[in-house]
Amino acid sequence: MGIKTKLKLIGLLPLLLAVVFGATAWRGHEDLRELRDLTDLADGMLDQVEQLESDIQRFAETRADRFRQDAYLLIDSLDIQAYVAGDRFEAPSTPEIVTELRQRILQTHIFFMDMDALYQPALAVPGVMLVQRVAQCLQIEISHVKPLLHRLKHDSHRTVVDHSDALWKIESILITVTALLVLTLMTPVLYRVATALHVLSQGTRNLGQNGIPSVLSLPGKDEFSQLAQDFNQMSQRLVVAEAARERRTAELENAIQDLENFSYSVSHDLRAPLRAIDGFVAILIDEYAPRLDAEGLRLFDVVSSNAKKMEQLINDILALSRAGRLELELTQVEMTALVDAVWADLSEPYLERAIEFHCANLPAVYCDPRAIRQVWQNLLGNAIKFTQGRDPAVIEVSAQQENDMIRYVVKDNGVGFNPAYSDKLFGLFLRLHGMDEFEGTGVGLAIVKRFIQKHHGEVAGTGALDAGATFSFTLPIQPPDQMAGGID
Amino acid sequence: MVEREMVVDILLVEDNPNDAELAIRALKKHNLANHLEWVKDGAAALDFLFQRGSYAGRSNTLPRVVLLDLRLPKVDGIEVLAQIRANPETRELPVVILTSSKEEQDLVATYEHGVNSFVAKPVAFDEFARTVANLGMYWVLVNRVPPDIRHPV
Repeated sequence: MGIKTKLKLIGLLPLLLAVVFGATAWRGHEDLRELRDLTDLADGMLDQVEQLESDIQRFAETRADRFRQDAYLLIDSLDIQAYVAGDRFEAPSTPEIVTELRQRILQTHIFFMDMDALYQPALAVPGVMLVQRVAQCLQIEISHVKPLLHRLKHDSHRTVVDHSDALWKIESILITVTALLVLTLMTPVLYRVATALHVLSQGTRNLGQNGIPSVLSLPGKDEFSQLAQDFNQMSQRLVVAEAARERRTAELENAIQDLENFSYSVSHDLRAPLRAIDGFVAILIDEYAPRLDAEGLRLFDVVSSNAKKMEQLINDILALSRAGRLELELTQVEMTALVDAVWADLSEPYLERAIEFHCANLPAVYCDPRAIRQVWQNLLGNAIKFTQGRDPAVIEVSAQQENDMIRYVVKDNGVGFNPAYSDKLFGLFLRLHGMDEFEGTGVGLAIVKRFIQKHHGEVAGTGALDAGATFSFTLPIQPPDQMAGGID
Repeated sequence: MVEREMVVDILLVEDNPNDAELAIRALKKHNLANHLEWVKDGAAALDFLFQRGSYAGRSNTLPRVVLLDLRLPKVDGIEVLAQIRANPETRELPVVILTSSKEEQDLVATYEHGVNSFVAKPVAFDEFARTVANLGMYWVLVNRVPPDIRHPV
């Protein structure tokens, strides 16, 4: 039986017992009332007997018809009441008393009729002796009736007291039984609830190895054991999920290891042949130039410049791979100083170009200075590259707060781009300009995106053909508690 | 004069013959390749430095500098460096890493083992030639080492 059902039943039990209690009390009080009625009746009859006594007395003295009739009425009334008492009341001693009482009353009736007859005027003068004897007999009868009525009254009163006592006893027993019953039924339920709560709270709090909760053991067939089973199933599923996660992590780690080995190979092994190509072409040009014509020299130049382009490509791929693997180390970075430093480095080769550079006061923020320096290098480098030919080129750096992020913006008046391709801006190796227009491998903005994503920020770019471009990125103002470093 | 023949200023440890040739050419231009020994793997480099194997009869003088690649057959560059630093005889020998790698982990590992310098080989030949020549000039002609290190007098 479930705890819920048990609690419901235990709740119903006092209700049931209250009904039983009420019924018993009602019945007991009904009986009590009847017994009290009997006492009252006996009292009334006693009064009437006294009245009768005095009426008979008066009648004997005065022979007044009024007293005669009164006496008859009283005798009849007494008889009826005795009958009623015998009929209605069921005190143990009543029937025998009532029987005797009625006999006595009948006797009284007879004697009174005798007396009445003796006083009839038609008859001879009554003998005083006879009248006296009848009166004596009447007195004796009445004197017998009185104690009977007293007994009746006394008996019924005692029965009332007894009955009342019994009623209280029954009621208190009922109350006690109810209390005991509820207690008996509640105790195991309460005990179960207490132990189950203890086991469940301990079990859910105790973490076994690998952070998996230990198995809960709660025998029984109620809601708590069901809960424990559900909990066990849940932690079982957690174990399975955890194992799957670990497997996946291991696979990912392997994949990363492979990628790192690959990038190492790329950095080391692909460079050597390139260097050989470039180096031996250089030696050829150096030592065999006199024997080559102009076309031959141009062809060697093409070989050489392609080798250099390929080196740039390899460098950019490696930079991107490093960007992905970089473990962020967050510090408070003075952005204005960083941007100024980056700009000083970048703009040095372009001193002859007319470039207006405006850098607003930028708020400091928590970030990895190595990563964010690279971001500024790529964005400002792009701005310099794509404003080529503008006179003057205008490059503006600003910042604004957006909720809990700061957006840093680089705006230029360069060639811009077709907004239709803006979704390709940050893609790897995607270029919106021809190789002959602008140099580049299409990795710079991909690196920017990678670094900013690692900082939980986002990148955006807007622009129009020949109307400049605006690139921006956001960084959180508050340093996140745990900024993901390794895998993304 | 025989003794002089045995003197080696630069020990070049490089498995790639093209890289080695380019380096030697660059040094030759500045007349620095006359006392250069080229070995193709880490084991040979250690044999040379500790007069073992095919270098058993060599005099025990040390070169002025070791130009060491990292990825080498048999014994790799890091291990060669570690053994050089582990031996009291060669502990102070100048070692310059000359490698294609730009990996931070290589940089960190070699400096942990007490490398004197770390140079990434530029791909462009003119740069490469300039870098190698500068290295040779610096370590052979400019740099001074403590007197007790095994050098030709």
